[in-house]
Amino acid sequence: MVKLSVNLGNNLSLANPVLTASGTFGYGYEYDDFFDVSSLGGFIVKGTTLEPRQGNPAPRMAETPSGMLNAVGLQNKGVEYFVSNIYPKLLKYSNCVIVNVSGSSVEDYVATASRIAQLDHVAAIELNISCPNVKKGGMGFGTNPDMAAQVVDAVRKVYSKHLMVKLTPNVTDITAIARAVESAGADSVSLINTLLGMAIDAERRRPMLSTITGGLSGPAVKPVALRMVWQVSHAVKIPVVGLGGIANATDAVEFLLAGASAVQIGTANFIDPSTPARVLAGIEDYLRRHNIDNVNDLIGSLIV
Amino acid sequence: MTKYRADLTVLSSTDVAQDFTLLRVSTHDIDPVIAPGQFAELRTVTPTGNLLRRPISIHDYDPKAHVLSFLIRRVGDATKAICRLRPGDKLDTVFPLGNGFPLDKAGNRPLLVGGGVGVAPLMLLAKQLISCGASPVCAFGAKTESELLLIDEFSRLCPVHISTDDGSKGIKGFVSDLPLFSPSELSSFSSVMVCGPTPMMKAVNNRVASSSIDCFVSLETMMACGIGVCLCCVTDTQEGNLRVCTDGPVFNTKSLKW
Ligand SMILES: Cc1cc2nc3c(=O)[nH]c(=O)nc-3n(C[C@H](O)[C@H](O)[C@H](O)COP(=O)(O)OP(=O)(O)OC[C@H]3O[C@@H](n4cnc5c(N)ncnc54)[C@H](O)[C@@H]3O)c2cc1C
Ligand SMILES: Cc1cc2nc3c(=O)[nH]c(=O)nc-3n(C[C@H](O)[C@H](O)[C@H](O)COP(=O)(O)O)c2cc1C
Ligand code: FES
Repeated sequence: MVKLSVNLGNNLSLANPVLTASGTFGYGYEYDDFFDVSSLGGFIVKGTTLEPRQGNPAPRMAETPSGMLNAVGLQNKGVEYFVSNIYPKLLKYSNCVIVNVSGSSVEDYVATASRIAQLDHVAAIELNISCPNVKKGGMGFGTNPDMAAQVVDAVRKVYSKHLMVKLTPNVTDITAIARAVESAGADSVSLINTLLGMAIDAERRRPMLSTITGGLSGPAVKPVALRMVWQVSHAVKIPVVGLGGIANATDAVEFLLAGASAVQIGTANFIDPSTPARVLAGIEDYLRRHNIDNVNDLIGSLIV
Repeated sequence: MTKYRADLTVLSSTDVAQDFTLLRVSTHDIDPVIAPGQFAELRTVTPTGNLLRRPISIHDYDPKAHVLSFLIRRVGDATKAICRLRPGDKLDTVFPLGNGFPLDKAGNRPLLVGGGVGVAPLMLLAKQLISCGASPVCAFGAKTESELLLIDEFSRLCPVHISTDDGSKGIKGFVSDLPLFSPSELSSFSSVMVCGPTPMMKAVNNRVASSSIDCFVSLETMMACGIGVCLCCVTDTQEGNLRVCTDGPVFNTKSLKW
C-alpha cells in the first residue's frame, strides 16, 4: 500500500493530494453520478461572497487554443443561502469540504469567513484574493503585498481553522505576495488562479466576452503555473497547493515534483467529469511504478 | 435522472442534407432515462484541436434497440470531427443533460416549431407526445428547401407546415408568418414548443405572447461544462441569471426577459 495522505498544516489532513478547483466543481454533488466524490482528498466549492452576486452578462466563455477564457464574475447566492441551502447537502461527504471565499472589501471577507467559521463540516477556507478591492479603486487584493497581507490578517483573526490563500498569477513577482500572506498568518497557499487574457471574433470585429477580458485556464496555463509553484515553494515554508491546467496524473505529478503538497483539478472537470478520480488512480500508479511508498517523498523531489 | 459519461459506439453516420449529419450511436448496456429536449455533451475520443465538448440535442432515442441519435450541423472543427466518425468508432458522450420540454404542460394539441437544425429535439418530442395520446402539429422553417431536414420522417408522425425564406418550399417567409399563427388558428393549440435560432424563437414568441398559450423555447448559449458547475451558460431571466444547461435549456418564455 502506498501512503497517499498529506498534511497541509493547522489540522488540514487530506487522505490524498487530489482536490478540485473552485468554480469548476460546483458544490460537489453535481459530480455524484460520475465518481465517488468522497474518494478525493477534498473539494473546494464555488466562490462565496457575503451578498448574492449576479455575475457578468453573457457571453461569459470563449474557447482558446488548449484553454478557455471565462468571465463568470463570481455569480453566487451569497453566504446565507450557502449556509441554509447548500451546506446541509455537503454533510454526506466524508472528505474535506473547503469553501472558497471572495469579497470586494476587507469587511466583506471577514463577515463571510466568520459565518463559514460556524460550520463544523467545513475543513478550511480558501481565500480568493484575486478580486478587486472596490474601496481601493478596484485594485486587486492579490496584486499588492500590503493589501494581500491586510485581508489575510483580518480573516485570520476570525477564522482559526485552516486558511488557504489562493494567489493570482497576474503579478510581476508572485513570491512577494506569497511571503506577505505567509507572514500574515496563512496556513497554505494555492496557485494559480486564472491568467488575464482576451479573445476576439475577427469576423464580427468584437470581443468574445461581454467583459472584453477574462480569465484563462486549462492546459495552456500549465507551464506558467508550474513555474510559479516552483518559485513559491522555494520562497515560503507553508505548504503550496498547485493548480493550473492539470488534466491527468502526469500533470499532477509534475506539480508535486515542483513542490506542491496537493493539487487541484479545474477546467479538466468540464472535459471529463471523472478526471479527479482518474488523476488519483494515476498518482497511485506512478508511485508504485517508481517504488515510492509515500507520496510525501515525491513532493518537491525534482532533480535539478 | 442519472447522468452518464460513456464512450458510445457509432452505428451509422448519414448525411441528411448538405452540412447535416444524422449520427446514431449505441447505448449498449446502459439504460438511460431520456426526456425530449435534453442534450448531450460530445467529443471525439481521439483528441482534436478543441478542448471543450460540444452540446448537441438528443434527436431520438429508442430504448429497446439502445439507439441514441443526434442531428448535427457541421459548422466548425468539433462538429466536423464528430460527423467524420464511422461505424465502430467511439463517441465520448456525457448525457442526458438539462431539462427537456414539459410533456405535462403540452396539452392535447401542441404546436412544435423548428428552425433549421432546431428540428433536432422535436423528433423525440413528437414521438413521446403521440405516445402520451396528444396530436402534435409541426411548423418548420429554413432558409431554403435543401436545409429543411427530415420532413418525410416528421410527416409520417404528424401534419407538417413549412416555410422557407426564399419560397423554394412551403410559404415564402419566416415560420412565424405561417397562417397557423393567426389568432384564430393559434387558439386551437394547447401549447407551443420551439427550437431554432434565437431571432426565430423571438418572432414565434411575439406571435404567441398575445394569447394565453404557454410558449416553451430551447435556448442555446456557449457552454463549458453542461452540468451546472461553471456558470458560463447563463441567460437573463425574471429570477436573475439562470444556467441554460441545468435550469434549461427549455424555458417558458414568460420566465425570460424577452
Ligand atoms: C443545448 C444545445 C443544444 C444544441 N443542439 C444542437 C443540435 O442538436 N444540432 C446541432 O447541429 N447543433 C446543436 N447545438 C449547437 C452546437 O453546440 C454548436 O453548433 C457547436 O458547439 C459548434 O461547434 P464547432 O466546433 O463545430 O464550431 P465552432 O467553430 O467552435 O463554433 C461555431 C458556433 O457554435 C457555437 N458554439 C461553439 N462552441 C460552443 C459551446 N461550447 N457551447 C455552445 N455553443 C457553442 C457558437 O455559436 C459558435 O459561434 C446545440 C447547442 C446547445 C447549447
Ligand atoms: C468557469 C470558472 C470559474 C471559476 N471560478 C472561480 C472562483 O469562484 N473562485 C476561485 O478562486 N477561482 C475560480 N476559478 C479559477 C480556478 O479555480 C482555477 O484557479 C483556474 O481555472 C486554473 O486551473 P485550471 O487550469 O485547472 O482550470 C474559476 C475558473 C473557471 C474556469
Ligand atoms: S455550461 Fe457550465 S453551468 Fe452551464
